[in-house]
Amino acid sequence: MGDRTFLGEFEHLVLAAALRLGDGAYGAALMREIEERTGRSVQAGSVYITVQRLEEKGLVRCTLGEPTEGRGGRPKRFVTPTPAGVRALADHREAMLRIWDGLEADLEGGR
Amino acid sequence: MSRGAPRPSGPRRRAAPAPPRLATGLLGLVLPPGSDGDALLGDMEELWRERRAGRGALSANLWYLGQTLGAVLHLLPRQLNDKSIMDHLVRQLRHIVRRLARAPLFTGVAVLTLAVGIGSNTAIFSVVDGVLLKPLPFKDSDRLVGIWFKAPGVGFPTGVPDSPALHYTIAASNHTFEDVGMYKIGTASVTGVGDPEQVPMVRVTWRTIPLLGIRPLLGRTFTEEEDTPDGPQTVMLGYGYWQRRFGGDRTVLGRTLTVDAVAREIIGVMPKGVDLLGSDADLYLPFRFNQKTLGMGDFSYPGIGRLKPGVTVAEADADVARMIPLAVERYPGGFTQGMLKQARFSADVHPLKQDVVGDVGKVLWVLLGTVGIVLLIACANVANLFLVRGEGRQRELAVRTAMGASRGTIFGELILESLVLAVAGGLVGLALAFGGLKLLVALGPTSLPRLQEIGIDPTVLGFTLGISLLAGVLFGLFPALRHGEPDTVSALKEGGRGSSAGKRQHLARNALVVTQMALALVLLVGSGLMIRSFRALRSVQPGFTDPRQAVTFRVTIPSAEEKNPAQVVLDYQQMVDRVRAVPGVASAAVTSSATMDGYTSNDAIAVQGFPLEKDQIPPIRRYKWIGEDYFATMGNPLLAGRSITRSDIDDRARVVVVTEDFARDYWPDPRDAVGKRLRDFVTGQQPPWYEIVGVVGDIHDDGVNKPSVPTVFWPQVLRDAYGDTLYARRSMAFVVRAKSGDPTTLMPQLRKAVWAVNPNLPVARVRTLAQWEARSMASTSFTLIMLGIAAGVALFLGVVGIYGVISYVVSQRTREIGVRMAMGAESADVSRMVIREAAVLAGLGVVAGLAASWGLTRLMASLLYGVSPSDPATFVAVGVLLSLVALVASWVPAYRASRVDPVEALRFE
Repeated sequence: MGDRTFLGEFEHLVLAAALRLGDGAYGAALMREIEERTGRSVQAGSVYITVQRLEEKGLVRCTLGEPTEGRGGRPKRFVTPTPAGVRALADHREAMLRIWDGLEADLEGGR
Repeated sequence: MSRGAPRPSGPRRRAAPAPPRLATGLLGLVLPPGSDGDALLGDMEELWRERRAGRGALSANLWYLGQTLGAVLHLLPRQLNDKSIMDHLVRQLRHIVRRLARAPLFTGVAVLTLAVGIGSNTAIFSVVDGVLLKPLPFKDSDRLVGIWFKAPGVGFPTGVPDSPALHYTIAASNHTFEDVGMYKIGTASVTGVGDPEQVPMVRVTWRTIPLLGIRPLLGRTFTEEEDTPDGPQTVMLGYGYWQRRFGGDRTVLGRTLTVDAVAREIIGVMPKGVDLLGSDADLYLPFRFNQKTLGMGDFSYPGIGRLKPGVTVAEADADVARMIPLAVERYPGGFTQGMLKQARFSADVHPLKQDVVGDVGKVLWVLLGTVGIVLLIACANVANLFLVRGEGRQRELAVRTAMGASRGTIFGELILESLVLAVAGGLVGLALAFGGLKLLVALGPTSLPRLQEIGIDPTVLGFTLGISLLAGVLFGLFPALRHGEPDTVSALKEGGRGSSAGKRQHLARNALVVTQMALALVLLVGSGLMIRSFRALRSVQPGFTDPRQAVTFRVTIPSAEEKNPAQVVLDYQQMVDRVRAVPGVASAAVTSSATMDGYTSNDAIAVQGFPLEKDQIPPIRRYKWIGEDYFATMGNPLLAGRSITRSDIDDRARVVVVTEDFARDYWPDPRDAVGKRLRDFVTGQQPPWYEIVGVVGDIHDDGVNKPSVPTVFWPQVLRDAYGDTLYARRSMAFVVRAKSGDPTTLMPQLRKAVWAVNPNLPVARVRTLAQWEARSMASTSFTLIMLGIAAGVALFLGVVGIYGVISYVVSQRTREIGVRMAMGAESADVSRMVIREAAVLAGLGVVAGLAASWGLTRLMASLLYGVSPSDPATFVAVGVLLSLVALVASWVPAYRASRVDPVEALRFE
């Protein structure tokens, strides 16, 4: 499997949310998106750290926006997945699907 | 939405609501500087507003706090690993140190103030830690308990010691102890080498030393056989005595030492630093009780036990209670089951530490509270300094904000600056604490236990670091909250001269001064109450007069030295005659125990005409045995009748003298006691009656701070009912009153007088009556001194605080005052105006302080004597004193204000 990048649980959530939000992907929006879709509450601090880590791995690129009203005049930090990030997400999805393949029937029992 | 290059955030609107400032500030500390961190703060504020609109302010704030804590936990470890951040921190620290060094007066005053606060806390805490918190220096000391009893039915709600009968019953039949022991602290005389010597000694049962986990340095501890009446005579040496007397000679084992006139083999040496339950003993001897003749009684020996693993104190207590009827059964001839029941006699087992520490805990906790208040005052003072200085920096901070420094960055920097100051204060404070501890130990009550365990150790260092950081955050928070969000526009506009760097600014400073005044008042009230207690103690008539003029010393004649009791009496009489002949001696007498010297003895008494009900416990009274001239020498007045005379002693007359409070228990007029009869109470026996020939003043034998003790004074020699057996006291204290001057200067001649009769007798425990008296006042005077120092420091800091605020206000209002005076105001009006302002602050502080004192002085109630914790006189006097001092402190700035030259003041603008 060579140089492929594996994503941690939360990394994959942040990355997928950023992909979905496109141009509107910044901290607060990412938190809202993840909270709405997964139903779990999200810490701003962990989103912040995760974005930083993804940036260090070259999976996202960050840019600062203009100071904005409604958030104490502070700028937004926008998050865009890089091609490597998109590829990592695709790999992750494929691995997940393979892992889950054929288990649907067994999961029914747990409902 | 456009994405641009990073750029600084601009000025913000102030009106919009903002998330909790404290949390934002906290975040500022862990966020990296620059816009990335700002973006996170923005995200949180955005979601906070959303939540606030949807679910209300409380929910939003709680969410924000939770997020803050989470972020701190996530970010802090990363920050600490990040080299650039650490570099940034170091750079910032260097910057702060440089800036502080540029303001040496500010820095010096702040550091010194904090050092006093932190140093005093460190010193007192190290005492609290050494005395109260640290485990005892014994193996598995948490399993060690004191075995005591209580008899609330006869006035002993606690503190009845173990008895041999109970001890042997517990040792044989308990289910909860691994081991039990019993001990008694006393003295013994050593003869045969050089001058005879009386040394501190501890008697122990043979298991006591092993039970504590103590291994002898040399040799062994006692065997069971050596702890029986017929076993071989042996002795163990304390480390200090071994060094002093034998030069640490390791061949000392097997040699004989004559202790209490009996030759005993030295079998062991105790290790260094063993402080067996508060005694620094030179010698250890086994009790050698005869189990065959024991009866239930003789409650004189503190018991100790080691619990089996997993056994609780309560279980042990129940187990010991179960032993009481067994002991009555096994050792008949003493207290009956009925008597014990009437006395509500039961077990009182508690952790051993309680025995060792005793009452001193209360004093120490009050002291720790006191120095805690001093620290708060110090923090308030430094916070005030910061506010004054912060006003000067308002402009600088505003400029930096305008240039893009975030609120969090500035908050973090201000807090960091406080922390740097606090840590510097802590370091200087530590040095002060080193010195202070020496002073404290020197001043400390002689009864302060575990003195050798007090010191500055890692626990204390941790405490110092902790309170330094806490203090830093405490006084740093004020200015940081004030300036964390500088009002950029107005600060720049007004050129930093803020005609009113805000009413809020003023309010913060005034609140600090009021707090300081209030805290200082609490300490002053505390010291005032201690002074009143001290004076009340001084006015007690303890049962003697002019205690500085009288010296006491003890001479013991062991039976091995002189068998015949009649000769013992003659020996004492010869000694006292020779003592009286020493030039400079006004009078002298012998007694088994001088008032307050601690040699107490109590026994059951029967008074003719006052028969007991069946199973009623006879009253227990203090016994003392005296020779002639005793009351005259002590200076205790005879209220009725006469004293015991030399011919009473020689005739073996059956006469006694009682104290006034003893007599009052039986007769409305104490003088009616004369002519009545009493005797020793012995179950099943009829000892001879003794006639009361005199009544003397009450004696505070347990200390001036304790109630007087009803006492019976017997002649120093008694004979039994048939007159054929004599009982002479063999350990007597001499009381010698000098004509003038220090009576201890007579000691060489007094020793010679004693040794002229028998050169083998040690002259021990040389103390003036004043020293015995001082001992019972030690804890009061100690608390008084410490509280006095604390209150002095508090008062000083409070005065500096109010002076500083008023001076500052005057300097800020120079222009206004100038205008007023130009308009025709008299200088008196101006000073009145300034003083009025000070009076309002002082008044608020006094009122708040009195309210706080009302609640807090209750905590020191047990340290007070003869004064209520809410003593109105003290409260009023202290309130007036503090107000006056505050007004004097504001007089200088008021005077300065009245001398303002209107022309100068206006030109200044």
